[in-house]
Amino acid sequence: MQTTTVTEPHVKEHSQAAHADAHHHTETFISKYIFSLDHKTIGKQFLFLGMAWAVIGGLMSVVFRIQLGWPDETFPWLEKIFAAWFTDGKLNPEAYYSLVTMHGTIMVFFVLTASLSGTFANILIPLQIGARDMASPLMNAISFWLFFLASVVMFSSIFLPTGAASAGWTIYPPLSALPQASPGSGMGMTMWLIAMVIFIGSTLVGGLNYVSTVLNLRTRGMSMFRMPLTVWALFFTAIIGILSFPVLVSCCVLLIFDRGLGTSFYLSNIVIGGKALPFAGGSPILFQHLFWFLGHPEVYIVILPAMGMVSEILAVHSRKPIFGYKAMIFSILGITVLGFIVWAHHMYVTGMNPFIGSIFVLFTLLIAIPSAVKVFNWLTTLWRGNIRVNPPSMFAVGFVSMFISGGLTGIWLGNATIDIQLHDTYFVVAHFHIVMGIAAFFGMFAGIYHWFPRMFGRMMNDTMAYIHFAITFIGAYLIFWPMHFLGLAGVPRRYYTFNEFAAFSQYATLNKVITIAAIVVFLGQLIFVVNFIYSIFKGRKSVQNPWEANTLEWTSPIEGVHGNWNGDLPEVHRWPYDYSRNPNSDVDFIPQNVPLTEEEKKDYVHH
Amino acid sequence: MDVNVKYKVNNQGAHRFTMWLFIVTICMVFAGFTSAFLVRKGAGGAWTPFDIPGIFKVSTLLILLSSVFLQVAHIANKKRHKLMTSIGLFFTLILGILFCYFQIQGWEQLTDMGIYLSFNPNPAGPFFFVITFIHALHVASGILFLAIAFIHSIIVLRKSNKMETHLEEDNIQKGMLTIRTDLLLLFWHFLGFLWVYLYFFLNFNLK
Repeated sequence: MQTTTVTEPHVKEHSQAAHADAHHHTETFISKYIFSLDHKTIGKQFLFLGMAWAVIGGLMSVVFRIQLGWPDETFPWLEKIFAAWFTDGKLNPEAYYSLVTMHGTIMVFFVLTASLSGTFANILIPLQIGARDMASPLMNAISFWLFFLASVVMFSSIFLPTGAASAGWTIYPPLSALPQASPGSGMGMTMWLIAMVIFIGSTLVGGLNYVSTVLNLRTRGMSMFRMPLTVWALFFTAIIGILSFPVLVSCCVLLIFDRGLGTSFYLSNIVIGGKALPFAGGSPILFQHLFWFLGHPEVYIVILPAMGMVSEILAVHSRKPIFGYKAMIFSILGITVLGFIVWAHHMYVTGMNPFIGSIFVLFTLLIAIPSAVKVFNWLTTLWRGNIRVNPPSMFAVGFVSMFISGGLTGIWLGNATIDIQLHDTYFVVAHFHIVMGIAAFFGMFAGIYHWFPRMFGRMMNDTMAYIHFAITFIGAYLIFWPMHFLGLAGVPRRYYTFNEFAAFSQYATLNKVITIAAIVVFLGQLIFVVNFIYSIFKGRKSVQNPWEANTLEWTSPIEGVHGNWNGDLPEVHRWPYDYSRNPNSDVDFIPQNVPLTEEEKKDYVHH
Repeated sequence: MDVNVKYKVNNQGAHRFTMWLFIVTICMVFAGFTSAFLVRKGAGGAWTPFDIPGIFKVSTLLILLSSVFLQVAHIANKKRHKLMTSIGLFFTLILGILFCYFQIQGWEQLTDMGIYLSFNPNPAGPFFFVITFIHALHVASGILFLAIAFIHSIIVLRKSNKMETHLEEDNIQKGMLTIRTDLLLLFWHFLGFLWVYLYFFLNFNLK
């Protein structure tokens, strides 16, 4: 038994006694750092693996952006690095499709689902609700190692001689169902499916644990409406995952049967090379329904943790209570519920009945309401705050900017009439990259800069962080803003080159600009990686509560101890947003574990 | 007392809750399958109904009977009747394995009837196979956990026969077994219920 994790939120004596026991166990390097059951270590593991994936996914986008920027040039030096993908200095079309597919899969699932939720749910949930660990530390570790296994399978598929999966991250059949469709639809697609099934296992095991922990292991006094908004967001994220990922399992199982066992769930009337295939009666639209039933909630799985962290970070760094705490919670709930009934807005061009389409338009536009509530609350939290400018707050504000810019185009695309024109153009690419890609990354960066001292006991370098912010913020807009105009002009996404189309090749210069911006932004992220690794070892030592925040994670010893608190678990007496409460006091924050004063008891209306 | 075991025993409520959540995920998997079934059926085109062979009635009875035995084991364990616990678990296990065996027999009978999986122009057959196969996979995983619980109960039974057993350790073992049977009880009853639902769903919609 290598862990020393103990918990018992409601019985103080026990936890203390058990904790004394805990020190009898010695730990080896492997049990402490590799097969650890401690949620703090598992959170870091998710973060490291996610960062590795983000670099790989980003590098892939640079390679295919170079093709789009300079479709006529040859790049012998790139061929030296990525020999398998290039012929005569030019990127192979098959490799281009594989890169686009893998970039999407890696970024959406491996970085922004597994790593974002995995890192912050692990580090923040137990620490912020005052628990000694997750409900089941073992399941938690299994969740990471399944993610690791899925990563190994997905990563090795890149090196297949036939290439990785190349049907797009949405793997629509028949491209994904027929090995004859493209080289990547053979073994590459098989390994994609295996990796994703393992990945879903990881997400579910993790999600079950997060929900169970939040509902069962809160410390004394930590009622639901005293939880920080990060925990609320991660809690709803896990619920969305639990309800939607299983449907992707069904979707993939039927696809696996179609690929390997000759069923026709998604296939019908296919002729290849003049020869009719024996598939009959299936429907590729059925796949889209099942896929997007996951696929749409998936975008909220990506963005909600970022929203939660930004809410927390903005309140801390503007030294003000979050504006509309309950409105924030109920808007997350609204987004969660509505997120499940809008999936068909990805399918307006499938020949859907216009009446049904208009119902999906209605639900889709309704999501603007909770989203706008959140934006309003972030802005009003900042309004007249005593704002402390530092890397986490910069990235949090950057998140709000990105979310507004990307959210507005969502209102366009949610309308079936506009979507039919803009479907599968660069307008869509620009929309979803800004609203769920860049915005989620900004939330993630804000979270990393904010909780880095909590994770490693040191601070990150501010100068490097500001350079990182400037490059990312300006660069991201430079990449994706022009794409809106490409999309309005009808330039389709996923095309290998536009040389043959007079209407689209006139945007060659714009494409060059986008590519240069993409390369600069990618290099800018390397500054972050250097800062991150440097600060782990050489960063300035952090004090116990560097941001002067109220939440419980800053009461747990910063060096990180097993069971999170020496002795008793903290008891919670107030909500987490008592900032600048007493104008006569020198201290502008009151942590959650500080009991109410007699005076406060009289007028304490909050929770 | 090993802190890890103590942690687990103290966390019993959380574990049961997690199992409920797990059951929700399985429900969503089958909601996916059954709605795909209905959508495909409603879309028109080739769809030939068939009668589900009678052998699936036998497997329905088997899995319901196994649930009864698991309930017996659970009650016996609560009343600290170790032998009855082991016996109950044993019969649950055997009936579970028999259920899988009869499912396989059922699939073979269907194939003989001309309702097969691969390149079947009638999609009703493949849907039946996939849905029942994925359910059987879940039952198989349940059997694995049943086997672990059964072996555990045998260990508890044998240890309690020896006089020298440390009383505290005995209590831990019993506590762990109670968690196992508790979680299994939920999971196994759910799988039985799920099968009955699927059986009626398929029977009704394949007519």
